[in-house]
Amino acid sequence: MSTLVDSWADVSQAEFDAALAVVSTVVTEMQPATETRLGAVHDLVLRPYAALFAANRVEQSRMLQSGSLLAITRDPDLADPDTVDQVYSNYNVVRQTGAKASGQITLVLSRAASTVIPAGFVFTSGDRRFVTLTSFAGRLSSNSVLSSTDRVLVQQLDGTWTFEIEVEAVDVGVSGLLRRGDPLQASRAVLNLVRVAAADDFSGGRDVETTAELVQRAQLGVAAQTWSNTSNITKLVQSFPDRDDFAVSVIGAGNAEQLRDKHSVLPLVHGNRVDLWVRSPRPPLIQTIELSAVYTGTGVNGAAWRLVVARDKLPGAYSIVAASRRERPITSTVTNLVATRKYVAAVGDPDIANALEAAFSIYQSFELTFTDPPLQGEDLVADVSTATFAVTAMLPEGVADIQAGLDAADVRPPVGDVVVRGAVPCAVSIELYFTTLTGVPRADISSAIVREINTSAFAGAVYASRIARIVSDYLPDGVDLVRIRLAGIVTRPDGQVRLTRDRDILAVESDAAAMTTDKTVAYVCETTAISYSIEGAV
Amino acid sequence: MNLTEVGSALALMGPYWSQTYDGREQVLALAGAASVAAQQRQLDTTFRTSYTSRQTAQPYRRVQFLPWTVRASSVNQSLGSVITHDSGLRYNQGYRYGDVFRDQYALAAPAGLRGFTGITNRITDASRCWIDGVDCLFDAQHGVIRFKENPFGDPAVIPRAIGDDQEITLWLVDAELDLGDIYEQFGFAFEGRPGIDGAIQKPAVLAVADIVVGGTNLHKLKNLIAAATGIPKTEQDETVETVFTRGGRQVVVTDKSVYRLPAGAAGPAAGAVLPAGTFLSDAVQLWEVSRTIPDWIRGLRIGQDLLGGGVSQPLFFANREVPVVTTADGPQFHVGTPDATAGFFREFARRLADVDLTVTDVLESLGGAAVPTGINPFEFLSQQWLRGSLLLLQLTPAAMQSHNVYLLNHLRKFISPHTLLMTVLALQPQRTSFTIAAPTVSAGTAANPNRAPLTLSPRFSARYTRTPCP
Repeated sequence: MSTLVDSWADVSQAEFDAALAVVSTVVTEMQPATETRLGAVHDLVLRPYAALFAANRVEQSRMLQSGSLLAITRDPDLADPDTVDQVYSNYNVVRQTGAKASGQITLVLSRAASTVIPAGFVFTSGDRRFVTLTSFAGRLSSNSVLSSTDRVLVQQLDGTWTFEIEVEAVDVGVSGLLRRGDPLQASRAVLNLVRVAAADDFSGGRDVETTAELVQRAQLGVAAQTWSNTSNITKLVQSFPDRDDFAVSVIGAGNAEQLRDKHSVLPLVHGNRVDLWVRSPRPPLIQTIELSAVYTGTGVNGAAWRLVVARDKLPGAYSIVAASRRERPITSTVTNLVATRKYVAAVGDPDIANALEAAFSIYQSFELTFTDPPLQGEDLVADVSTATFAVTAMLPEGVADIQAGLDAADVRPPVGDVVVRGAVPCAVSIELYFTTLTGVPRADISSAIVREINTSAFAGAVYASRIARIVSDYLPDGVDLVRIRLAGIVTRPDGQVRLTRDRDILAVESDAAAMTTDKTVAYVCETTAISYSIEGAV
Repeated sequence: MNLTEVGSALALMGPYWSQTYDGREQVLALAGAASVAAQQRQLDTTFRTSYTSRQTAQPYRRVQFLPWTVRASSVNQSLGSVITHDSGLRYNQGYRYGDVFRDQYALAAPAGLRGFTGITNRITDASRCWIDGVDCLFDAQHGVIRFKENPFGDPAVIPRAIGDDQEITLWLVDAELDLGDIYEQFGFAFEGRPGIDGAIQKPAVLAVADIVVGGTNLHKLKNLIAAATGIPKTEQDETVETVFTRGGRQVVVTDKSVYRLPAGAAGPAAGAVLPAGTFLSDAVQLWEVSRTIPDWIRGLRIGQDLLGGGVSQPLFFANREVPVVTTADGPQFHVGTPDATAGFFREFARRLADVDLTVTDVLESLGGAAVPTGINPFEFLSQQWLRGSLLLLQLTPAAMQSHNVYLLNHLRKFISPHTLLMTVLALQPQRTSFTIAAPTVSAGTAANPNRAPLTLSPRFSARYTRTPCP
């Protein structure tokens, strides 16, 4: 629909009556003998004229309304694509297009055999479908490799053989973001294939931005990209490549969460220190890198090792999830893993005094200690022998490049002391109880809930009422949502991991001394963390 | 050709229809109606065009002739026609809450009405005209139009019978309507709020938009504070020519402009020279902490969020000289309760020890060779700690009456995060008064200080006192 009136139904009776009142009153007043309530003048002159007059006023009003993002949101009929694009351009806002997630999956074969996966082959993970864009082949040796999509089978310690291929989600959106280790199923039988799993976290999936979300970004759209106030700083961060959908919480002078401005000889805060807590609308990454560990001797439960994760490795990591020796099967892990966050000062660092103040930023490092027995026949010498371990961490997206972007000479504020941190993650799980699960579109509901939570910036809480409203939009007749249970696990900058539960409002306990408040906590949810049950069912 | 004039419309038709045709009087009447419609179209177009820029956007839609149909049974029936706490009356005037004003005929005004020049009984050749402020009074706050005489008893108005009731249609001439356009178009993006009058909201929205689009500077920040508090600031170097009170509010006339202050806000004296950017009332004080300490600061309380480690109790740094006393822990001066003072200096000494200094060393550096016998704690604080990093905003209740005052909650967002912001609400004994009422900035007055609504009687004011801060 355009702003033009193309049907009389677009003109309300009240608008028409007001127009008719004006024109008929003038005629009556100027020529009292003229019958303006009935007859030819009324039917052939006044009514059509009043209708055109009213239509013109409606058009004027619509043209005004069509210039407002807010009015467009409220009245979707105004939102023809051309008009919407024009209005967005006024605010320098471009709708974020959706993208499909993609990543690598590991195919595990029971025996070494050349295996071909054709283009268009579909794998599924729950309701999500993933497809190969080209054909891949698992080859027995490098001599057999003929093209860039040929892979060499790798033998595992458990006797299986693996190779990795790339797949892409069929549907646009974050729902296609598989986690490392998530199982998949082949849509058709493949000889010798025993299992399939995501080799690493998938990336790239993003939802199409809704008009309502665009309205929220209107102010940021026109904000100057410079170091000035909160809006400008947020826009500055969003101007960095691939960061346009990030939320930013600016913690500066006077904020209780700001710990770094209390280093003066006077026991008072002195300002001039800023922390930027950033979050993407996607869950934290699970990333694995290989690092060298030093054998430190025989411990209580086996060989003890020490490993340092330098500040440039796994930047901003929330926690170290696991470690495993490269030579072992990917499912095995070390034991007695203790990860200690460290801060080692370096020239040019911001004002950071300890590990807590470095938390979730690029300035932190980790020291890992763990035990892992030597390989068969391996002879280890304390403090001399080294081995390579795969270290897996949960870390925020974008911390390193945002910090680098803000430190760039043409961006950095003068005398600017800025530390970029990943938002404190609170992983939300949701239990939904229904009268029946028949006809409940679980995938759609899960996607909508995940979208709601993950795009909520620094919302301070997750509300069951909000989730109930989302769910109710999808429920078929005769199905009721009976109960919601919320739980969250927050990984705090001081290293503590806390669980919180509620039926109505899930909110992390505020602790400014640990930089954990509603200004720093980001609630994140994945579709796999949403469960569906029938109320009363055992 | 101007189709808003009847002559032009007739000329367009040609001489036959306007001069020869037997029914030319009817044609003339139709041309009149067409010209009225064309005038309205012109107003609509002008209004819409104004929204091509937030600077030129008109807060109110204008309707040349707004039909207003009312019934006899609705006279004095709306909530706005009964006495309430904010009806502008003094005690002992013979009214009780819930009474209807005597000798007054109140009718509910059209929704969103913000003003009009008059009310007529006809569009053309009106035989009866009610002038706002003379024959009737538009009370925007309560949404009623009060007549001195009942329009249903006016012989120039012929009512229609509607059952047992009567109905008349009057015309509001050059009516201004607030349909929330400022919020719809710009306010939603720039911290506006729905429901606030467009004329009041517009300067706030402009101030926020300017800061967002161009970044914060002192000029834009002052604009924002002015919009939030309703205390205007000078745009140029100006000299106050006269100050007078109208409707309980001071009007400041300078050689460049006219400013209207909120109720309770005192303006400068005539003859005062005001540099550009000066707030027109000391109800708002903004201080970038520097060597010069203004005397209006009584002191500064430092709460929990601004304390460093090792100090647990709030501190108060008074802006007056206090003695320096020597204790077993070294020299100290009063910065709060005895416990708070002891805790502060204990932690101060501990931190100084890390750099091989003592409190005595620091105080000696201030007083020359020896520890001074007296010290101004606030001066010590501002020179040792706050200078260059604190913005202090002091407000009195007179600066807290605007509908836009909520913007002060967002002030932190518009100031560089490197800078501390402290907002002080100053309650001054025997001086501060405020009106017990909803915010009194009436629709239609923000943009034009000379178009104030008339009040029936002085407002009831409450005076209160409060023990001054130490």
